[in-house]
Amino acid sequence: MKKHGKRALKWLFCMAVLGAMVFSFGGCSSSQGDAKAKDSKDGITVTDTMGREITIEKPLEKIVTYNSGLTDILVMFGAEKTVIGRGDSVPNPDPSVEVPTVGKWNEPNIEAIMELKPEAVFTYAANMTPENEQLLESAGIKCIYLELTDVSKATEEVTALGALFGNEEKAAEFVKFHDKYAELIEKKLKNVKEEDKATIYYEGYTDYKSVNKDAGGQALIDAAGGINIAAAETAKYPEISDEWLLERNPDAIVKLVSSTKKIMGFDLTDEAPIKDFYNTLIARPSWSNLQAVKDGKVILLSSDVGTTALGSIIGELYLAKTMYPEQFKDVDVNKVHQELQKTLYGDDLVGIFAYPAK
Amino acid sequence: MEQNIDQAKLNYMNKRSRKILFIVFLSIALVMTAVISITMGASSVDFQTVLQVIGDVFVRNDAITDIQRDIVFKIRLPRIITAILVGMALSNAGLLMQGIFQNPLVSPYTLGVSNGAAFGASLAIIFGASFSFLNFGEFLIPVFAFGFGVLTMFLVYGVAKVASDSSSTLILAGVAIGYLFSALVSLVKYLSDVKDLPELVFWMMGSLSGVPTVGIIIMLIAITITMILMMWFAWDLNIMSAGEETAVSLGVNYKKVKMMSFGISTLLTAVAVSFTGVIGFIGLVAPHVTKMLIGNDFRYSVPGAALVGALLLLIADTIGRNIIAPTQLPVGIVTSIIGVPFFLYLIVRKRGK
Repeated sequence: MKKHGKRALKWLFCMAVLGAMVFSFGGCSSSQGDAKAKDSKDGITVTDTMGREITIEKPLEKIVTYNSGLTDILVMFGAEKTVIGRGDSVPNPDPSVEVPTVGKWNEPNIEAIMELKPEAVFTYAANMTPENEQLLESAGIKCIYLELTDVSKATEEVTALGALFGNEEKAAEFVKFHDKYAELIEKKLKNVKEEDKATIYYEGYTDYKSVNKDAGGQALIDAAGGINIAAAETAKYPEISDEWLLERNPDAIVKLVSSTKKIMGFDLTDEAPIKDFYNTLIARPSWSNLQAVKDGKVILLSSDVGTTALGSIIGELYLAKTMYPEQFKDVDVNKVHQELQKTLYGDDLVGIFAYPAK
Repeated sequence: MEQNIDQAKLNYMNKRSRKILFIVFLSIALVMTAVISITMGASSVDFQTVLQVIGDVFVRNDAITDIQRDIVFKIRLPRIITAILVGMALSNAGLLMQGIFQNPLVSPYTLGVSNGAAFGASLAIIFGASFSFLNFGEFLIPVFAFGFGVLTMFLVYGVAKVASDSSSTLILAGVAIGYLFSALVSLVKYLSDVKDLPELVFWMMGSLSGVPTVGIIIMLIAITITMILMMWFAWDLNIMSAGEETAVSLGVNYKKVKMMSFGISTLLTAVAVSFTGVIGFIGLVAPHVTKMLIGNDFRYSVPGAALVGALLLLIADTIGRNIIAPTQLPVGIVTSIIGVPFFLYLIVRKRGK
């Protein structure tokens, strides 16, 4: 009896250790607001991605940015010269000047920022501690979180940026362009019944890493009228089982390709490496049996047109056309992209952003 | 006197049979676990479907789809084989390291091989675009990981040789060089773009999925050759466990066998790590579990540790594949969560005895 008691005690001890390990995993979440802008007599007030109201007296002239997605928008506004400091992953926005880097993209260097004396710093909210924010604010430097990673918020965020950089006309042009194609997608998919909606497997930069309903990719899929097969997973970026994917047999597949791979994106025009990448992707075990592969509904999308402001127009169109080729057969997405580049940036589009071309 | 010798012989034979029986039992357990594992997964392919798929190989069954066939033969089976081979490789590498260093805390990763391999992999993942001229394709990461793993071994051995060539110097050099590569991995991570980080972090947690057939064949060859060598030198290794002086006095070429063991364990670790990423715990604990159950005799502990390692990793991976399916848990996390309590239980039980 005593021996049994001892054994039970040992088991209890082991299970307690295991329990402690399992329950020590925790999670956190943050709620985000919608970016908005309004002008008043006292200055310009915008609401940033985190739902905070930001008021400035006059349009920004000197900023530091740790957000690489912001550069595109500033170039669109012709405001690239306002950047006097940048995080290491932010491309140099103005080729005529070498803008200094002030720390890593996710670790703003407060000392270096203060030395540059900008009017505002643009970072991702998760990378700015309350203490650092207070330090910067007390030095008269605004911390602004306009993240540009959720395509459903792109128009609000670009509008807010337009107000902050004094180019509301260009921001309005972007919104007009965006709305025109959002309406087009809506119109084209009006008659697609809920049960006929295409299912899609969204793969990020890492093999079999997908997105759930809370990740940026979900908004892109929603806007393009698709159903994310991994939406219900617990992890935000779950590693999906290969056999489950085969059995779910999605109607379409999108794979995001990081710009760091240097095979897709701006100024890259050689199709050969992308073709190799594509062939390797569809040669995964049994993928030849997937309906999406058989129907040619697999697309590689450059990160430039993924979960970015540009993605809210171009990425959505590429996804929609991949899932519903019949409905979008008269839409040449590359032409739309060229038109966007010409209208909003005033130059010609050079690069490959999707493969196969749609 | 003669009676005492007979009694000793009988005891030895009894112990020997028990050990052999234990290895047979482990083999059966491994086969059964593999059978259970192949019938479990995130898809609806269950025991009955697997039987039908196997039957379909001999007599065509039109009810079986290509996808079901591929799930069994191209996804689950290679993954199970990978788990078995990697478990064997890491466990035997750990067994050798613990044996030659006579140190229970040593694992295949103590001498920095995994840190070196991780550094190679991180270079391939983060700066892969710059190495595209090498034309390694999907083998870029394994080749870099293996290359740097082996390079680490030469560095460690070189430093130890210049110093005193003792076991403690080797461990110290290994730990120090391991830290150096670990810092270099952190540096690469620090310099990397946000888009590349997840792939590197994922690699560092280990995964048994997607190992190419060539990788499985390489692992199989490495394990077969090294196990034959380990069995061949089992007596020498047994004597070496008693210390260098004793081994030398009994005529063992201590330096040669030590070097060979060092090379074998590095090779096994580097091959496993390069295809699957860093999978912790197995290499440290599987040899201990084996020794607790069947003792230190290398003639039995080599196949025993291989089977225990394979069994532990296969169980961990089967759980990782199924527990929150269709999301897969990285196997490195599962090995520690299920392995540590089991290991603690064994320690408590041993002390109780």
